[in-house]
Amino acid sequence: MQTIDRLSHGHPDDELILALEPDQLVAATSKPLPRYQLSHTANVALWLLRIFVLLITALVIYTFVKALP
Amino acid sequence: MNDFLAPAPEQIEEGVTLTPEDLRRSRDRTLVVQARQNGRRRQLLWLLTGPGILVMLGENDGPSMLSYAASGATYGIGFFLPFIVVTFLASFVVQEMSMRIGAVTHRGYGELVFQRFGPFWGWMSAVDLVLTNLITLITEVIAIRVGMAFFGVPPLVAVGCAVMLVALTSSGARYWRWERVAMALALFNLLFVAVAVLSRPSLGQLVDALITWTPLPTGPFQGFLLILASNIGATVTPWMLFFQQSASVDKGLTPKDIPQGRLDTMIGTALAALAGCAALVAASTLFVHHIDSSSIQGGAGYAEALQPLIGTFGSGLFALGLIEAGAVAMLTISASTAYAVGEVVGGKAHSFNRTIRQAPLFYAANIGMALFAGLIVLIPGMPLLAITLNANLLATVLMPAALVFLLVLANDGEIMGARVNSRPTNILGMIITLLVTLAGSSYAIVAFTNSLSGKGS
Repeated sequence: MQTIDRLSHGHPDDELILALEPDQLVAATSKPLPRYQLSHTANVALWLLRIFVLLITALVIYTFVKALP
Repeated sequence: MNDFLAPAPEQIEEGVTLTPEDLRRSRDRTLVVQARQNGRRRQLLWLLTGPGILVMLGENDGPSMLSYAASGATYGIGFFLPFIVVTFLASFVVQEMSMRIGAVTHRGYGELVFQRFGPFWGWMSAVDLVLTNLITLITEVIAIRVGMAFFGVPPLVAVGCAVMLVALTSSGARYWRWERVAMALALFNLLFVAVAVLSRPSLGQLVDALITWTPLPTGPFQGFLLILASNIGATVTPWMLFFQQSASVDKGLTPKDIPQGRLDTMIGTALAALAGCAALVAASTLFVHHIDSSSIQGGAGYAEALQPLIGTFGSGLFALGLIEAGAVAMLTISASTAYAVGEVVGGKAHSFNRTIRQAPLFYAANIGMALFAGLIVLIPGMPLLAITLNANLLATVLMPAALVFLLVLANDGEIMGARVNSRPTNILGMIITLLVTLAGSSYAIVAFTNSLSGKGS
């Protein structure tokens, strides 16, 4: 990948890059964020919601297929 | 140094490697900084608008406009005119959160779900999105095909134009260019307003419907639920969350830009609500003249059905509007898929500020999805009408999971700091999640039980 070495002082791109925030640079956003600590209850709730959504999706797909001529 | 010129040079680490994406984004951001420094408010708004208008007008897509038209043709303006306005207000609440999270974290929705909740939930969100986007993209190509058929364009040419549009707008390696082309196209969504005017609606009846929500719909409950859920899916869908958050990041929005981002979303909401209501009002002419809407849906489409009532010019505008709705949605929905794929497949570049060589996966997903949808539409005997009617429904059914993650992210103090949701926003968010869940599941259960008992809709 083409990259440009930063802050060799007086680099013509320095002025441009000041318009970006430090955490906006690709180098910063490429670093993953730490995991969110979900409580046991929240985890169970997410699983229940996922199962519910899958069940409802299955019903919609079944009805859609059955209604086809 | 001016307060807006963040960061100070000493804040940037020595030896940090800049990518071409950073440089291209910084050119756009320099204009924003200068406009803010010089107090040029209108220029600042012009520079910062885009994701909000695009997401809202992009969601006024082929199946959405057909859903609004079906609502008007089946039930008149009574209940659904104010209902559509309310769904757009709900959409604003959700999309404002999406924009705010993008501006604060500088990360897309898929990326945040993947990193904060782990690969399993990240992949599930992406799979939901790719599935609904593929089906929705098929319906966009159908809308373009049907719209162009009104002007005698053969299906192969219509589908070719749709795919070429996505490919051509993606070239140039600049987010700004892509956004402005899409925005210029999106404004043609207002063609539906002209069609509504040509249908000569009664102003008194419009005001009365908006205030009283009457007359209430009558007829089979399953049919009503289908239209209701489709209208919700026409304004609140998973791809919108992915798109606006990622586009805000790609545009380079920062926390200082949140007021303009909010205004951008508000303008988009108002324009899209206006066009959506216009489609409903235009098609309600069919209801007024007691024309059976089910036979219209199975025939050559609303444009032809409206021709004897509003004239050739009006019906031609409706067909043009349909082409535009499909075209803009193809751009935005393909983009949301590309962003999501790039964000979830770890470390892959996902920006319109990259060239095809620098972000091959991003562009392959963007153009590949459009091409795949186009090929499906060309398969003889595909149930295109049934797919169109069910596309929004699928989006409604899959939306609750996406909304829950959005709410958790918007309340995540570790990444949002002081810009977490306010209490009223959380209450509204929870009400919207609950209503979307109820609407989708009610239709699914009623339709399923009816199909078992052989009742149908």
